Amino acid sequence: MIVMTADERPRTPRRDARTAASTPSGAERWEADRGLEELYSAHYRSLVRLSMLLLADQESAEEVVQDAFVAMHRRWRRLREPEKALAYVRQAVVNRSRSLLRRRGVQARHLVPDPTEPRPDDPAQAVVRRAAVLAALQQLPERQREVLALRYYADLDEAAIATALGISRGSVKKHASRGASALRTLLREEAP
Amino acid sequence: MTTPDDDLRRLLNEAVVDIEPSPALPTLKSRTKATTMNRTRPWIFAAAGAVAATAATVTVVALTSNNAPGTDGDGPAASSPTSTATATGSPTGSAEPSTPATESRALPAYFTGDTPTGPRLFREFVRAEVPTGTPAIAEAVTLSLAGAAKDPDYYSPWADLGASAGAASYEGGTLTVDISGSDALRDRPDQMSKRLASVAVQQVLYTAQAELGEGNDVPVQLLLNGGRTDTILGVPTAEPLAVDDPMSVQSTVWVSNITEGDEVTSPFTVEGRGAFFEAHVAWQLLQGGEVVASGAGMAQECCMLSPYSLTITADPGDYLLRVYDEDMSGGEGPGEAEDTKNITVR
Repeated sequence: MIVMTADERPRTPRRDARTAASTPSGAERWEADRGLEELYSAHYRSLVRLSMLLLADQESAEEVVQDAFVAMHRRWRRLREPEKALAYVRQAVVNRSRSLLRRRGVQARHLVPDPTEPRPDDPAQAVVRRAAVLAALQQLPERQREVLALRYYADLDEAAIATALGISRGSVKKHASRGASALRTLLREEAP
Repeated sequence: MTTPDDDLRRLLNEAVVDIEPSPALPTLKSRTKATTMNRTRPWIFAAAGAVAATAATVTVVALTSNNAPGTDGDGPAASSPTSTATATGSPTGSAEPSTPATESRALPAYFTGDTPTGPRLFREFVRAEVPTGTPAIAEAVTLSLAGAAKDPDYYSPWADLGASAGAASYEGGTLTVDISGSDALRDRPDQMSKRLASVAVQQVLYTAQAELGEGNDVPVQLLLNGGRTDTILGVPTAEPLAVDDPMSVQSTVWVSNITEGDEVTSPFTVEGRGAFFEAHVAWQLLQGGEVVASGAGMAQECCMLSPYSLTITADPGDYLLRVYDEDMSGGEGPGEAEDTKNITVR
């Protein structure tokens, strides 16, 4: 088994990476595998949680994130830099979550864990509140939900959210403020 | 000190704090291993190997459309897809020694619909069994060519021409899609207008780009039966093609989140995108041709393709949902662009 330290890894500037793209080598494949592992250990859990906020379904969230990782691995030659890879995977997670929601159709939107059946080892109240937050998120328009999740869970700034969603910063602002106020209203209504 | 946003940050974090995904690294490693091997020779082989599976799937989709509630069975969706099943050869011809894992996935496929401003593109997600971990471009394009849409308003100008996508590959930034069928596909059939032929080609480009997932800037080289050809349907194809501007070739009203025949629970959300006069998104629910409910919402921007979201409350029943760009000109405009879906409210 080959062991390389992080410092020995080839650091190819972007342009060179493109030239190299036509001749994938064993080292490159190894690099992609290594990149995937690093990203997995650092971000897999938080990406599943991000997708969970968008989908309110853990099984789907895990599938979506796995698909995003596989896609990232395939594009490794063009991503290379870990930061770009993370941004790519995050964007893929949001996009794939969105498509999944659309495919599920509107009738499934309100599929959320039943708050009346808390898991035995959980303080019941916290479970109810968590389920309420997920349920409320599901009722928001797609963009508002995405912007809230990226802003308040993934901690992205406006510019990064705009890039991830392919919308303007102005739209991000609009969705964020509408989403925040809608979410607060929904949670207030559902509060006992 | 807390800012007003801290409560949301806390709520969202708490909502998922106990979500512990099961370990996935072994799965990921095995899934990327296959992809890596394909990549040394680009995934053209993966795509070609899957075509036989696609052909079978297309047939299934056609049958499903036929029996779907709200579809009369006469629509273009049901008329043709089986003809593609024979075009791709036997399953043993190109299959890889080890059968790749497959998954049931909804593929984006573009279709043509008639609008007040001529034929334009609509998109529907069509479920198909495809190999895991690679874009299923040949499959998506084959579904698009066959016109395998649930919405009876959508059709494919290719449907009667016996075309399918033999293979697709993505290399050096260019997407290549090989169309299989008669050599007569070079020329525009007599009964097909130039506009329709152009839309037919755009249908393929948009579908291939959508499934690849790299955006609309990726040039697409079309091949016919494995080789370059000067024209396909009379449209020049010697060089890689770019897609036409969405405003000029896509429908200016789309419903995206509801598919023909969907069941929804009231209140339900209708999402899509369109170019609406004054951003005014009009909707109607019809029963037996009569408008039983109507309303309007706002698109995010006026006059350019922009997202909208409507929330509609309705009593249980079957409806035709119509979202349209209301004609405010007193009949002087070209007519009302629309997208319609038969739905059942539970």
